[in-house]
Amino acid sequence: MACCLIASMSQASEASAAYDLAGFIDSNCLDCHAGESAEAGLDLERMVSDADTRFPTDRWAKVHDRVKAGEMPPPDYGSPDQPDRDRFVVASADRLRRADKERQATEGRTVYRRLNRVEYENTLRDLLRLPNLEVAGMLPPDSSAYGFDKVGSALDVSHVQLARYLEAAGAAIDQAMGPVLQHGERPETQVLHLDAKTNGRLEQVLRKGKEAVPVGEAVGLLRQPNTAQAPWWWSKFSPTVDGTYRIRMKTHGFVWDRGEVLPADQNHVVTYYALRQTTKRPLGTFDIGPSADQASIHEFDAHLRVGEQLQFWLETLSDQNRGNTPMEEYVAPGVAVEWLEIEGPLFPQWPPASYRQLFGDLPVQDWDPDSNVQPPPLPIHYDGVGKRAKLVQAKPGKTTLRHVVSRQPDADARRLLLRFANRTLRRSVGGDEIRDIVELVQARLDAHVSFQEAMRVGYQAILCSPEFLFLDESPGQLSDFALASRLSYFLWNSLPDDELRRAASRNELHRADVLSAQVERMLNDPKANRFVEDFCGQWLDLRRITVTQPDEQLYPEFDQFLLDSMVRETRRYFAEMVRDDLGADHLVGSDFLMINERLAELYEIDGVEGCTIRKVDLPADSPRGGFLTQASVLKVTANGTTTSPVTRGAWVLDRLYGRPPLPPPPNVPAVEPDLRGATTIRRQLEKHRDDEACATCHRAIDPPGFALESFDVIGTWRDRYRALENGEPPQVKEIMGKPVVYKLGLPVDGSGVDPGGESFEDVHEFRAILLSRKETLAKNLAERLVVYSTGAGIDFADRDAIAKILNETRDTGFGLRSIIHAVVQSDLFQRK
Amino acid sequence: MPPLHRRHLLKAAGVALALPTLEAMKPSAVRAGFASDPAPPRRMMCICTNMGMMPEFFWPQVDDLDDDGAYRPSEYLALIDDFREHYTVFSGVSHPEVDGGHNAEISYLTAAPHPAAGGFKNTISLDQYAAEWIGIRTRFPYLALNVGVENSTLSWTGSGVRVPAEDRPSKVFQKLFVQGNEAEVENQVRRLRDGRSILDLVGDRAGRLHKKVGRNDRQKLDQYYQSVRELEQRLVTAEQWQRKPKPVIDVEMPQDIDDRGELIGRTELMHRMARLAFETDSTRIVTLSIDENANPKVNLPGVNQGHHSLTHHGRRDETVEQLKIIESAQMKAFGSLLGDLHRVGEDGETLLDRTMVLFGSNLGNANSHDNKNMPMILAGGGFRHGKILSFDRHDNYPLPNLYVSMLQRMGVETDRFASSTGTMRGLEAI
Repeated sequence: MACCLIASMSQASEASAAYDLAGFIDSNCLDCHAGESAEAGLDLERMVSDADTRFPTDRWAKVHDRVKAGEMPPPDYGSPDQPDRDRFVVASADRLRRADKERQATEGRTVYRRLNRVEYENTLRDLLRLPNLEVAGMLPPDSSAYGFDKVGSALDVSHVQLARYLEAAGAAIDQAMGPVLQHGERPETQVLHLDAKTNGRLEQVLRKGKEAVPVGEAVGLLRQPNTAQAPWWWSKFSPTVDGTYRIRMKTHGFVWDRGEVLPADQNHVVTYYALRQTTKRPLGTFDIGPSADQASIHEFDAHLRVGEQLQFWLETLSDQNRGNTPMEEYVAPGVAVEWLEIEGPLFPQWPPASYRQLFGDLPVQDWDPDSNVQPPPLPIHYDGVGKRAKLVQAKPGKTTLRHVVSRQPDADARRLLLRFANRTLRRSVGGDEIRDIVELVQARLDAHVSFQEAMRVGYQAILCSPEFLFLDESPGQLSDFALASRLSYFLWNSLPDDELRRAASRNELHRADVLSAQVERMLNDPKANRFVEDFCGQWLDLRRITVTQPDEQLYPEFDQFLLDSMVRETRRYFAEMVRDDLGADHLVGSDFLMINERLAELYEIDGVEGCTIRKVDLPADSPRGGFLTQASVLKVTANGTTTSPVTRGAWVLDRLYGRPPLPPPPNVPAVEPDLRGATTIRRQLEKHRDDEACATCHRAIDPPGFALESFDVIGTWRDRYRALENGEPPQVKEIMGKPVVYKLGLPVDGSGVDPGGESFEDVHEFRAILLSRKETLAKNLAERLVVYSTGAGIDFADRDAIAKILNETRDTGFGLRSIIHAVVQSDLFQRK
Repeated sequence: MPPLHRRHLLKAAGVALALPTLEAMKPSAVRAGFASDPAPPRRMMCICTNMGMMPEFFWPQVDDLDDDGAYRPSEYLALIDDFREHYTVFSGVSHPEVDGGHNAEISYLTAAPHPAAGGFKNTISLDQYAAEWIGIRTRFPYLALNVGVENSTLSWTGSGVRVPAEDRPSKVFQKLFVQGNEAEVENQVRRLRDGRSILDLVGDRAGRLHKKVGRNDRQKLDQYYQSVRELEQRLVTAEQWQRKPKPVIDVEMPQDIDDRGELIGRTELMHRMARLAFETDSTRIVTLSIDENANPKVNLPGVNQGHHSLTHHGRRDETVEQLKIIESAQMKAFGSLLGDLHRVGEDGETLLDRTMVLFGSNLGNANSHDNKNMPMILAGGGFRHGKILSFDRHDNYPLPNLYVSMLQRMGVETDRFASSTGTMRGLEAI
């Protein structure tokens, strides 16, 4: 049986080789697709004549697909008949596969792939044990291809890049050794307790009586404090060294009722920030207890930096003035702040791990001007606090200069550089291989440069070398070290850890059981959150969540807390899919949500309290479920004022189905949205139905968009459009102290007809249609994971491997965790 | 003499190098033009305000236009009418095949088509192209500035990499005028030399890898190698300039304005930095990206909504009025810039005569995100101005042609840029 199959296959390939592809194109395509005026810009005449010299597989693949699907030539064209079509499809598929396989054998699927800036930053964080290192912002943004900035062909290098790599590497090394050079001895841990009594200005603020009231010994804030009112005692603290600090704050909610202090009638939420110059870093978000007896004490560790100032933002208090209402008549919610305690800096070891990564146990000593060692450079540090913090160079004479001391500098340099190179270059490195780097450092040691300054140059060189910046992969089966790198940059966005390295050095990693165990370990490690964040950030466009801002008048309920929550929802949902191996149907529907109270409010779901994201059962009649109707997705597919069925529809086709529509023809005029409420976007798009040239594509693009019209730009369900001129006033009159000015306008119509012919009344029915297409959703998901993890697009010849992945995961309903395993086990992942 | 090889240059490291040697490294075509340069310095400043200008107030009505380009000014042009003889307005121009609404910002100076398409790669921007030719004459080959959003820039290298822009005037001032003390200069020089040593080393390593990688991979490695070379050259130049004292001016370091709502204040501050940079010949190429994508509420009386939100006025009167307040203020700030450049004399001409100032937007109509019919003005630089050059608003004239004219005016020997079809019709150099 097998030999017959093989025989018939080779017969088939002989037949395919002999088949005249050009002839088919000539008879069936060139009427429309030739020359300068070729339809849709696709000139097949040129493509065919080039076919023997260069075989543009992407294009041929498109031609193959459309002929196979019966879409081209269009049904009314006349020819070819079915047998003709089939022969063409088989022959072109064969030809495509061969062309791809040839290239993959000699060059591989992927092109020499540079680390992108996210990978670079995470690598340095892990390498130097600096979990809060920030260098990605110093590097220029990366380009992407096939939807991800991990694709080798898109990642270029320029002199700008290289200059920034030099700078970033230097900055990272400085941060690793900085604290020890700055302080010498372990800095003392101090505890600072700050409360209202610590600063007499409390009286002053309370006397003003407008925005803060005394609540026992605490300051009760009735509105979002600006800098004048914020517990000013916070500015009395600023870290003297970068490090870990333990922060504790005692706070509780209350209600101010015409002079009386009552327990809070709602949950309050606070977010802490560290502010330096114009950057505000969030440190954590917490719920606040409802009364003085049930006050909450938030305790958390945060990495703080010199010059940073602590701030907090009360997510649930308005920032509006209460006008002239006297306090005896005023009723409002408030948050009382009792005290703040900061303990730190806390160093689990000294010198810290980051220093040891570079210098091991070598001591630091004060520099002696009488020695022959050249003076170390004056450090540059932050002076001033918060907005006023500025980088200044230390003053000579006022600063103790210190340096790393080695009694055998040459031997130590060689040893440390070899150790560093072995970790950094992601494979075994011998002394011979870094001779040039050792010489670089040696020359400086000979010139009596201080030890750390000499080593700095060596470390920078390693971090700018092509072996570090690019992944080392050779065509064919990847070596175990290369496999380890690919795996760790897939699931951790960073270099392999010790355990992965060990498995690779023992040449065990490529074994299916070892590989599987490693994937499990890595997915269970907190570093896998980097994968969740990065993959969702690009696949679902979460990186672009702040590109537009919802219009304040139309969407007054939108705030930062909601924005943060919606991003967290999507990431947690994806993480849940990985954790529980949930199937591809969960992309568009689910029986649970990952939400907090803010999202529950948006989604009109009762009974959820608190700011943490947790699993909530989906109420029976809710239109939510899956990524399809998550607020973040609905936001990134809209702008700040209006939704567009075309944008959303195209997004669904592309990101969920994996079938992006063709771009619009040039010179189609843009639709000018009408915010007066005189017409709806759906009516403005009617041309799509009436004009056949538009309909060919919009037949597929518009329907998902129409179903999602039931959700506005921040993801709220709507039965009517919000408008600013025509319409009726809504029931809610005020949000967080701001008057509501939008009106409820024309009704929303969420119905449509799927290109398959099925009609739907609303998103519930539309969802049912999507759920019946599980395999399409799974295929797209698998393909995206392959692109992301291997750094290359999907070739025609890769389709068989994708099909294999789907077959292997079909019985789990195409579970996400299973797909990840299947991807790693496939040839696509294990070969270049 | 054939162009010098990199190795010869670096072997001479440690000896102060005179500029002409560096120039000898450029290909002959370039060298010829700069053997001796008696021509007056010519400058270029390119400004993009990415929220557009409302077309109905920017251009005069059709009835107010003459066939030979004379016109009765529109509402916005009336605000800068004092300088009418010093600028040309363009109507019916845009970059061929550049679409994508806001995405077209990145193609403003590159004219690279379809910036929103997947797999898009940008091409070299006008300023970077000019800098490759004349950048070497000044301490800074170019100055990229921005007002508004942190990562915004108009400048792109030939390999499609964003060139970061400076958004703090204090930093620009420091870069241009603040001289480090001797220790700081020595430190910087040492860092630059360390940098060169590192680059030399990694370049060699790349060379050794070359044989080990396949053909496709080799292209990337070559890119890396090329970048190493280019950066080495720049570090050498930087080191030379490091030792030359910076110009001394009697101006105080500016205070940065943190409030994003201060659009006009921040714009004017950057205008001032640009002018100072030109006056001291610190650079001859400046780009300024005015990026309001963060939708700040501009601090002008009568404005109470975010700038970007206002551009989506949906034809509401009240919204249009507010947007007009902002755009008028921007036009006036542009007028002030022209005035300031005009008041500086240089060899019998004015700084404005020798500086081309390009002002406009990637958006022809922000409300509909249309990239056709871009509002564009070219001021100064030594052209015959004072009119409107009108082209077909339904079949636009290619804006890259203007860029070719600008490059030629600067002495760059080229007859094309991106998708140009020639020089700007109707624009005459004087």
